[in-house]
Amino acid sequence: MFTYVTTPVTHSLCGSFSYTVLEADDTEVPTSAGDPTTYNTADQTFTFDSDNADLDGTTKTYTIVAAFTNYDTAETKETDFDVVFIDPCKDPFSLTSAAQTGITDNFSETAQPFTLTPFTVDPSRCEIQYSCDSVTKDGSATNELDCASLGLDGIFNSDPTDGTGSITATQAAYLDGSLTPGVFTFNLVGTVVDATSGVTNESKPTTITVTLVDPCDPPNSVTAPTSPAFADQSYIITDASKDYTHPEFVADPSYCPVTYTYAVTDFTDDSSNAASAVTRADKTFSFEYGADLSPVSPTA
Amino acid sequence: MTVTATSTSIYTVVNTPVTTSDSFDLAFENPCDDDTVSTLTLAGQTDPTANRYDGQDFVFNYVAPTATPGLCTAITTCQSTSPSNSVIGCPEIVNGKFTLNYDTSVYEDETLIPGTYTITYQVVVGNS
Repeated sequence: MFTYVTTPVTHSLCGSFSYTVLEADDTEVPTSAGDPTTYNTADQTFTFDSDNADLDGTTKTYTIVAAFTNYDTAETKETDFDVVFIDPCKDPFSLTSAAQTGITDNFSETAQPFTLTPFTVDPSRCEIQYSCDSVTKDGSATNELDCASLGLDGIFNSDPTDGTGSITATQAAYLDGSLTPGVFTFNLVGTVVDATSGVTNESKPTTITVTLVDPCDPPNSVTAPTSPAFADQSYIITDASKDYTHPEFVADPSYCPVTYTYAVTDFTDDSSNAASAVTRADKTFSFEYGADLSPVSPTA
Repeated sequence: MTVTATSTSIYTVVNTPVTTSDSFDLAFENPCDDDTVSTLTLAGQTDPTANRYDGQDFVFNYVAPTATPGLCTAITTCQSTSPSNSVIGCPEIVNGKFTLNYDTSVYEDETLIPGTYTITYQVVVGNS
C-alpha cells in the first residue's frame, strides 16, 4: 500500500493514488483478460493465470507506479515485485489413469497389437511416461511373460511406436510349456516426467490384461481320416496274424493331442464262451483266430 | 471295430473335449470255402477182395483224404457206379467204410452179373 505524508500539517487534501502496473518492458499490465497477469484497478488485485508453458520456471518483475489521481504532474513512486511461475508439472493438479483395452489370443503365432490409452493429466501438457512394473498370471508371479514381452514404447516422443506394444504367442511355446493358457496382467505405471517425487499426482497405475486362450480346450474339431479312410478288413480263419493300423484322426489345430479309445466286438465260440480274434497295440489291430469256425458268419 | 478319437488340452481342461468316432468291419472268411487256402490230399485206396456171391459181408475200408487247414474236413459222396447197377447202387461211405453182401440170388436173376464195378466218389473240402 502506498501512503503519503505531509508536514507540518497532516492532511489528505492531495487525494487518492492511481496505480499503474508495468511489465519489465514498461508495457502496461492489462486490466482484464491478461496472460499471465491481470491487474484489477477496481480492487487493486492481481490475477495470475496462464497456460503458457514458456513461463515455466521463469520469474517476471512487475512495477507498480503510484501517482496522485488529481495531480498528474506531482511526483510518482514505484515499487517492484517478482512473480515466480512454477512449472505445474512438478505437482500436477490431477492425474487420472485410463483403463486399457486388453489382448486376447489363442497362440495364433500372430503379433497381437496393443495401443495404450493415455492417462489424463492436468495440465495436459505434462509429459507422461509409461513403464511396465511387473507381470502376473492368474494373480500369481510368473516367468512365462515378462515386461519385455510386451515391448511397450512408453515414451511419447513422436515415434510411430509411441504407446504401442504387442504380444506374440507361438504354438511352439504352447507345446513346450514355456507359455501356457491363462490371464496375464501387465502392471503399468504412468509417471508425470517432471513431477517432484512424492507429490500426489506423480504417478498412477493401470493394467493390461493379456488373455491367452487354450486352442485345444476344446479344439475346433476332430475329423476322421479320409485319405486314407478307415478300411474294412477281412481275415481268413486259421491264417497267420493279420495287422491293420488305422489312420490317424486330425484335430484342428493340428497340434492338439488326440487320444483313442477302442470298442471291439467279440463273438461266441463253439463252446458258447465269449471269444475275440482281435488284439491291439496302439493303433494297430491284429486279427488271429483258429480255434473253430464260429466267427465265420457274423461280422464283428 | 469302433475307434473314438478325443482331443483336448494338455493343460487344465475347462470345456468338454471334442470326440469323433469311426469304424471298420472285420469280416471272417471260412478257409474251407477258399480253394486258395484249403488243400485236399487224396490217399490211395485198396480194392476189396473179389466176391463170389457167397452171402458173406465184404467190406471196403476207405482211407480218408486229408484236408487242411485242420478245421476243414474232407466230405466224400458217392458219384456213380460203373457200370451202373441197381443192386450195388451208389453206396455211401459211413464211418470210413461200406459193406456189401451178395448171394447167388442176384447172380441167378442176373441183376448183378459178374464183372468189375467201379464206384466213383467225389471228395470236397467242407466245414468240420
